[in-house]
Amino acid sequence: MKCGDIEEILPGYLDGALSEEEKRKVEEHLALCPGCRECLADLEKAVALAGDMERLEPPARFTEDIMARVRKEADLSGEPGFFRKLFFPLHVKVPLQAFATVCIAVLAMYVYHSVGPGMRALEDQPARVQDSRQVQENVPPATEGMPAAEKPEAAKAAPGKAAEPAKEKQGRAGGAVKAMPRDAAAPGRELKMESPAPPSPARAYEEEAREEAAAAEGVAAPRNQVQASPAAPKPAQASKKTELQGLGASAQIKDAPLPVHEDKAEKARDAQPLTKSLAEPDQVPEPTGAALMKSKAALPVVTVTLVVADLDEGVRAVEKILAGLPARVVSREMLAGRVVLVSEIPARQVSAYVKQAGAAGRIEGKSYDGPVSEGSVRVRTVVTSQSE
Amino acid sequence: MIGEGKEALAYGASQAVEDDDAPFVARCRQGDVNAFEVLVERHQKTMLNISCRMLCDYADACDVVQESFLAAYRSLEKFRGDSRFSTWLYAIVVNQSRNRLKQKASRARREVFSLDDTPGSGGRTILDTHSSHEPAALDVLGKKERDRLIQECIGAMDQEQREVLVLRDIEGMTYEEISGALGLPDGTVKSRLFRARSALKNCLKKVFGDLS
Repeated sequence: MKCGDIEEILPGYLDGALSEEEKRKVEEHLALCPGCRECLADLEKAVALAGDMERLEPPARFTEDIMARVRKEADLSGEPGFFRKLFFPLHVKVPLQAFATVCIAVLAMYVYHSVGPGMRALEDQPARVQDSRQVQENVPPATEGMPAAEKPEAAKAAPGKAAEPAKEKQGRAGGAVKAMPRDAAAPGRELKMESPAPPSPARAYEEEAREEAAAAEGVAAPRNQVQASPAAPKPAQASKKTELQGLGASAQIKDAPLPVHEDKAEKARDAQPLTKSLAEPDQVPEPTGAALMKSKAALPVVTVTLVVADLDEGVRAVEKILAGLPARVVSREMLAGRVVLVSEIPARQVSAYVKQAGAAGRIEGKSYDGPVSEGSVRVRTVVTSQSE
Repeated sequence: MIGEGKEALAYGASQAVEDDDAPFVARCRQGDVNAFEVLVERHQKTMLNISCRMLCDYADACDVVQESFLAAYRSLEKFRGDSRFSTWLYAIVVNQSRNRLKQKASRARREVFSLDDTPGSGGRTILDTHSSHEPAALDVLGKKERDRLIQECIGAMDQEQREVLVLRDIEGMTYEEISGALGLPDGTVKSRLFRARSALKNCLKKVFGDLS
């Protein structure tokens, strides 16, 4: 091989990068050529000099300057994504989050089981209160200014919705309290008084027992009276019918179908002439089946006829008086030109009631049916306008 | 070893590569900027020397190294782990240095009068400077001066030869690492290196005279 060829591959020979054949040829040539040996030596020296150069040192704060730019780059590129922040590093955050989730679940179950039964009990109470309110609101508002002919129909139509909750309460009370018939659920204002629309079963039993006791004592008499003089009411009925027709009232009132839950004994008793009546029979409208809560023997009935200048104001006054007493409103009827309020008050309060009612208008008649000295009394207040 | 292997596999590499930088790279990918600082401390000196030997300018080399680290941080997700992290990093600094050389060359060409000895710029080189001078004896020169003259010889070389010479004979990288950093076959790396050594020898003989 020539020197030129050898010089080209000497760097490779220096690195041991030649094949065995080439290496042998180079060594054979070097043994014979001092020039190539000097060239090899210069090559080795050059490489050594290059490798022996002093390594340059970075300037002061070189790392800080680089990291300042890197951190700025990291900020500009935005914070790690929501997912990355939430779950990374995985080996730290995921176990912690799983543990926290388990703790929250256990706590929630504990709270539910310990508080849940109490909450469920509380939920039942508002339902009962709401039901009682609904029954109290069964008395629809007074139909002021309505034509007389429409009032009875309003009386029939208005409490449509009231009849159903009332019936629900009836069922709950065990049937002791009967629902107000549609006709009898006359429009009226809310009365601020004891109005146990949803009587509890216990109270219903009490009332029933009291009624039975009263029935055993004095109901027989009215019944007897009814039997004794069956014909007596007829003339009165005929005259009343005439009167009603003359007033322009709808004959439908008298001929209106009786309420479903009307007590026949009550009906007969109301139809007969009043034994101690001070009023003329024709001024007292025949009862058309006011809300009769009891199927058995009834309480003594006191009928008071009150003539007022303004019917609505008179009715409000009477209701206000009744509210002041421990009275229980049974029914309110809108008839032609008059309003009949049936309520139950303690017997000892009758006199006071009559006296207060007299202040609201002119008492034209009072009638007592049965003893009124003890127990409760059913008071029928007939409020009529003096223009009628 | 096992941990490092796992870290390497975390790169998505098909073969596990032994790499001391693997744990820090993994943490960087998870958003730990402080882990990147460790990598900067480890490799900034080597990267500075590579860049300075290629650019023959210390200030430019500092800028290039900062840009290289920034580029590495931005493209950290692209590092597949099929080579050592240092190899990947040195490839970035070589590319950045090449770009800087191109910028300087084009800037020099725009100047009316080029007084710069920028390597590869076509201007006067150390060979031209010392062609008429007596070579300076190596044994009387201080180390600093000697290194400066050697650097000038390196700067006068062809850019491709300079790269392999700097990586192999100055930084001591293996042929495999140089191939990975430059993206060249092993044979190409060797041939360029042999030519670079011959060119360096010739330049140094002219500058220093007798090298023995």
